[in-house]
Amino acid sequence: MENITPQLYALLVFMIVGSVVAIETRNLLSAVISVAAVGFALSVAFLFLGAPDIAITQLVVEVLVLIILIRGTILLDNTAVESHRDTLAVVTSLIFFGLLLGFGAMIFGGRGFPEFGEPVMRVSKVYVHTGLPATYCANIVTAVILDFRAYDTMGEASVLFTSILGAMALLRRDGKRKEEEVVAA
Amino acid sequence: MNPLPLYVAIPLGAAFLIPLLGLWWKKSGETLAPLFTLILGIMAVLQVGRPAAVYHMGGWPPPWGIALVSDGLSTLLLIAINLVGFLCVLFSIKYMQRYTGLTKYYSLFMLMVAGMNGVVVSGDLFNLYVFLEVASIASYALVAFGVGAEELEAGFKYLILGSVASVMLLFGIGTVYAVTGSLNMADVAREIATQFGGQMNPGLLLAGAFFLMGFGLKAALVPFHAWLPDAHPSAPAPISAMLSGVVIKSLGIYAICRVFFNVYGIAAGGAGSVIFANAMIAFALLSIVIGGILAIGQWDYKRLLAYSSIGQIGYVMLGIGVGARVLATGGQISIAGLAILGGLFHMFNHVAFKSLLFLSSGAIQHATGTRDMKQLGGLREKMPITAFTTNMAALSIAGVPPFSGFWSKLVILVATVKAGYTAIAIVAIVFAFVTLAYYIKVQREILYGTVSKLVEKAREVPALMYVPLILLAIACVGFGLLYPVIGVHILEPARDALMNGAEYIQLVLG
Amino acid sequence: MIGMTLIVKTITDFVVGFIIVFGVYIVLYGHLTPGGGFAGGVIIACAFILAMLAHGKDVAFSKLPEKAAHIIDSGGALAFLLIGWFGVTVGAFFMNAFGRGEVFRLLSSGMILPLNIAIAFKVSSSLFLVFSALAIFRRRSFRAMIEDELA
Repeated sequence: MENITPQLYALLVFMIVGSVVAIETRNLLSAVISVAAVGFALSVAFLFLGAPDIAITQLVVEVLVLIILIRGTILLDNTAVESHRDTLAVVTSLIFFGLLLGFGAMIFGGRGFPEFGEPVMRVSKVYVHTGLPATYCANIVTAVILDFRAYDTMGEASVLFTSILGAMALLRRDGKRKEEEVVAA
Repeated sequence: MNPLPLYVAIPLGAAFLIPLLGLWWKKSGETLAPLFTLILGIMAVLQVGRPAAVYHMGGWPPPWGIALVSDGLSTLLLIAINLVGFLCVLFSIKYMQRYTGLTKYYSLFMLMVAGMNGVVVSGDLFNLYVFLEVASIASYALVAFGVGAEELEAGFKYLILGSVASVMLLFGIGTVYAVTGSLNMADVAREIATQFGGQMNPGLLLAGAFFLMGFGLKAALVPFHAWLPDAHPSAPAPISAMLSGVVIKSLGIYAICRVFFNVYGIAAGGAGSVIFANAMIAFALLSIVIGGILAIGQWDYKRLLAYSSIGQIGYVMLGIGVGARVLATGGQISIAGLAILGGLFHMFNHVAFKSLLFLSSGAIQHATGTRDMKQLGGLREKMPITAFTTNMAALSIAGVPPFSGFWSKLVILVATVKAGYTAIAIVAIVFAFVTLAYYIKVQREILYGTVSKLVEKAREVPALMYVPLILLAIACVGFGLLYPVIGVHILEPARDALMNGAEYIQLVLG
Repeated sequence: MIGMTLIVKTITDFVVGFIIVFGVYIVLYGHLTPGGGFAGGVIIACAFILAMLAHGKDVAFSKLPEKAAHIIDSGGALAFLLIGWFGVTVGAFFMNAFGRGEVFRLLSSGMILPLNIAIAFKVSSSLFLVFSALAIFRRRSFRAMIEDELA
């Protein structure tokens, strides 16, 4: 893991900077592009970590989301975001962010977590060792998501179905019928 | 054959079929949704008294595959979700005729039912998260289903806050996986109990805090309640009834109970358990106090009911939190059992009376066109059935004997006093009277008094709308009188499932 | 002129086929190489969205009508559920009821290939639908706005 750590840190810094730009910029289009940059950097980070499946999915979803978001953004007349700062909100979020960092340092710095690159493989090593003979599937990731945990994938497909159906339902032109139509029905 | 996957597969199948058939057959939703929810409700009732069971998805044994588990607690929630779901769909048939896009409505409704059933039968942390997302996303869309400005704003607020909760939960689940290397709840529980010897690893402590915040937001506990007072009034009435009746319980209270009692083994009394139990009691007290105070001042009927939900969920959480704290500090097991039983009983009662109140608010809005309490009055004369059932529910939730709400609050208070938390009990008693006060306000302003101009023209709602009201009113009285039956067959198995963490591990892992 | 310039249209016509073929490859070889139904489905959806952006929605709907997209969307989800149910015949929900075949062949690993295809149909049609819903919605609300202005 040592040989790729510098690249990962560079990507991490890039992603954090991108996220901050996305939050702080006034222009909506710049914000969308910054978010997309973070997504693409994440995709590259997955590649460095040796997870091509997730990298591909992240990449294609990022492309699609970028198209939809940019199309949504350029339709707006005014893409500049009005700035109004709520001091109380900023202070509270900073306090909570600090608390989270404190907890994070406590956990990642010491006794809590396994070392980076040496995960607890108690359950997953069985997938690695018996995945091929048990499922005859050469791609172990697919074997896990569509055979060992196919039920979860059905849930994921339902999540997608639900969100698309919900979006279609909310994009109706009129929500309620007119009174005379109700009486006729 | 073990019917557990059917609880998810039937509503999912219905949800996929309804829009498909709806392309040619406009009434597909109104026909299929009541049919399938009725089947599910009957299945859930038949589940009572069966021994706890485990189903291995795909034949893979846990922890490698996903296990579905049905024990007493799951059965309790399955009955509530599917029966209330059936009654709400029945109510929707007439009520929803004012809206467009009905096939989408029924499909989203079935997805919400599928998501909640998936959450309560799941034995796997990530699987629980996936189905929680299905139920949550369906409810975001349903809250905003009217697509008016108010509905969209409430739905958007719910969406943002709900997504924050989901991110917290995902982070918590990721942390648990990183520390224990497993997602199966029983396997994680065994790992926590043995490898960490009950000592809370800081990673698990952080994950626990995230779980409490995330599920607490779904349960609308104060201080995570901001979405609820907007979402409940804006949603169509059957959806408000579902949200308040079962969604906040199955996604919030059930998940908190399952994670902290069965996975974290709060009963075993590790280092973190007292902290979590204290947090539960604190959130519960805040919810009781703030929900009660805010409910009194409301003149919007549905908003009053929404704040009342926050207060009542506080009572449920109080019972469970007191039970957890007694167990964690090594107190008497019988007192802890009583407190948890009281919490579960109040939750079960709240399903009946709060769904009834929201459905009746829908009936009132359907007949008079308003939910402003100042414009209502004298409903007893024009809509006798709606008024009578509303009265039943109001008396029950306010804790008037012999209705069911009285007994459950009594059990919680007795257990709290017995456990030695007299000050907390006094606060809870005071706010039980506050509950009574605002339901007396509901009775005075809506049911009794002079007949207002809007009520003058009102007629009783059609039979399809009042039959669910009557059935729920019978439940409100029946749960109190039939306690010997319900207590032994439904509530005590649920309590035992929570208190014996080791039994759960044994059941799933064999 | 509806859609974008002639250059964009020509290039789009040229590229769309390749994108779809690549998406189908990602789907069908999901159990052998990185990829799978979800990623492949998104790629196929991108091809249709590209066509819609370049030629306007009427051309895209002539290739994939809205009703057909709805049918594929629900049908794909239903197919996933039914393949899961098929497992009950050999023991449990989502148990592999198809022959496992031989490792590294296209027709191997039982139910994984059909599940990938079902997901791909579902994902591609539903993403196409949500994009078209956004495109159509804008027109309607814009027109409604003008009507309100005139009234």
